[in-house]
Amino acid sequence: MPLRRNLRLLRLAVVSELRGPGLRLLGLFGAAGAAAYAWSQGSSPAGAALVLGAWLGTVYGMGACLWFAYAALRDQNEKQGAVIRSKPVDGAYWVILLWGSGLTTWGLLLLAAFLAAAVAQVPQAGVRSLVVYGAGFLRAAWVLAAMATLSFGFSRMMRSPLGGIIVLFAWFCALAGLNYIPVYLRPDYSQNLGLFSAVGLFVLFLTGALVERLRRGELRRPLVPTLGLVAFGCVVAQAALAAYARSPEQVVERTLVYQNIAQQDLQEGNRAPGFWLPDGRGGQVRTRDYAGRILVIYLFSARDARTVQFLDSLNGIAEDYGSRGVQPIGVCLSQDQGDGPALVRTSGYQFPIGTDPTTSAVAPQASSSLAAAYRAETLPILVVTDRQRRVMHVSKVPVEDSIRLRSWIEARIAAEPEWHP
Amino acid sequence: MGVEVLQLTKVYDGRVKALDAVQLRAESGVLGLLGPNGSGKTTLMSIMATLLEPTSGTIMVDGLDARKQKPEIRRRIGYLPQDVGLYPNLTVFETLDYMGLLYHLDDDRDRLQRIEEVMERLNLTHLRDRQVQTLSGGMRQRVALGQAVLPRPSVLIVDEPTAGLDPEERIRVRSFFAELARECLIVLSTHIVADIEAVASSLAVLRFGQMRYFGTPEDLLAALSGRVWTLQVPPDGRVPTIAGFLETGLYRMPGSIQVRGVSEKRPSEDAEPAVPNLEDAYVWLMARPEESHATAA
Repeated sequence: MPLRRNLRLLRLAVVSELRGPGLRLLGLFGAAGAAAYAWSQGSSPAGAALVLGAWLGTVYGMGACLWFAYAALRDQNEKQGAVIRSKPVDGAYWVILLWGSGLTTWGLLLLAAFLAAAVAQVPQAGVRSLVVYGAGFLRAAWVLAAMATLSFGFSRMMRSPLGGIIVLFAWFCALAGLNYIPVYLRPDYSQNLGLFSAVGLFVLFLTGALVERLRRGELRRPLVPTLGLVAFGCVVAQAALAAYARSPEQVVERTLVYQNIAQQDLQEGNRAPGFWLPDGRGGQVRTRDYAGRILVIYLFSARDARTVQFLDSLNGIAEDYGSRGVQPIGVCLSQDQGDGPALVRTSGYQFPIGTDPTTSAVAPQASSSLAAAYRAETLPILVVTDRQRRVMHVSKVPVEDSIRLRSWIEARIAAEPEWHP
Repeated sequence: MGVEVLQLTKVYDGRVKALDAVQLRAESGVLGLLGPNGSGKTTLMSIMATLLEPTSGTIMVDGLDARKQKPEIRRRIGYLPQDVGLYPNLTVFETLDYMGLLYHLDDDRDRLQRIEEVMERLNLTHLRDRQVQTLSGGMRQRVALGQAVLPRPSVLIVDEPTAGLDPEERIRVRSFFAELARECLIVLSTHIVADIEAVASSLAVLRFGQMRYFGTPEDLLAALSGRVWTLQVPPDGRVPTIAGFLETGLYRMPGSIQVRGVSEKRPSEDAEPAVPNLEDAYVWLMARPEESHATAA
């Protein structure tokens, strides 16, 4: 019965919110914009879904932060607050109900945008776009949920929209101060979502189980919620350590292989810098595993849909020339360490894509161990080697060079036809 | 069923005394709380509704301590605050459904039956599918009242329920209270004396947080018996200033103005004795300098 009751309460609250003209308009314009963007991306949904996921996660997340800040004021005002506080509803339950209904509302708005984008790309990319955008939605929804929870918790604790505004301001600073704020403080990066989710749940627990119940005079046994809070605090500390450990500087400092990668240097005619990178499936992408093949190494930024689209061309090369000893390798450079694995999971490409976890910047200048080794000040960059991994061609504008790429490969195969798998 | 208040004091920010050693007790019927703005009525009702902590004193609602048994009390009371806020985008039915669910009325048939019953009693059935934001003030007030009575409370606390309503709505709400008072105790706060006169079986008058009177309206009127007078003044004449005569009302009559007031003795030769009403009593109580007239203390 409680589940049915709660679902019905949730449904009524969401219906009430979605009947408001503001949210309806946002939903409509968001969906239309997402559909138009997806339509313009042609038959390659993977990169579009990544970019859209990053944008919508941030924009809708910030919208949700603002909305929760306003809702905290609305739900606790003298009028409505008095009605609700006089009902036989536990303070913690009430907090969870409001949080859940707000998140569901924003989740539905976000879903509408992703659904519109997926449907818009179905005619060109097929039903695969539904899966790709589905994965993009989950990532964006996670960012939204973590940040909106923080805004909700602080706003309710302070009984003022200021709580949400502070969260929003901090987020904005993290976005704007790209090179000055440590990567582990960016809430929209996948590797930090654990930390921000843990902090959000900590604040939610504090708000519901302690603050709200204390205000309503319901906190008779504070020991249990206090112990719960300590447990949540431990989870936050653990998540903070994990996020810090995954920051590019820490990865470089801890892992010798990345220091070695950075010390190599790209020179035409010399061996191309070798690397070991995570492949997004729990394994490694290693240049040494492709000894004797002509390598097509492509370093790209995951947040640039046009350069991600070029992966389709590489996939064509893998299909057409794979049996003749040509091996494309994608190297995803992104401060968000989830971008590469997301591409690998959703794109279905026939060649490996590694992620450089030491990436601390992609624009205006790329900065990572591999970017240093490949002298990739700007992205993307394409390198074609011979079968001894010597650098034969380097292109800084590979998107425009896609036709020439095939002629380079044909020339290499003609020059070195011998290959034994 | 009932409310008992003992030596209840509420001080805001350590400075403003909103309630000062208030005492009252009511078992059934309608307890009217009367007093000017700022007299402490809303504070008293908020404490009864477990929304505020008293500074000192005891308050028992339905036999439960309002300091220690808030959740239990909330299960037994219905509360309608002044200027109630409801979700504007929900329909009348959905609003009552939402509130019913918050009261853990889980059985769908029972909840729907109660909602239909409440809508019927409050003449809301034809508004069932209208969004709350499209309703007039009176209609909204009836919806708010509906949510308060949905759990069939043993104590219904209503704060200024008729403020801002047109006369027809006001009469409708009063009739509803009169009918409901057979089932539960209604604590009704207002500064409209006519509301109390119509339905209250007991009366508490507050001023500056202190109890000026607690008892039945009949006892209060009896205390004024023989002390209320009317004077006729020409329409263009001035109302005379008479020592010891406390003016309680002024009414336009055909060809004259009737001045009504309280006085220990006949204020003038042409003064006529009148039957006291609650307005006379209220003005008289407010003007009296004495400490307290509480009979239940």
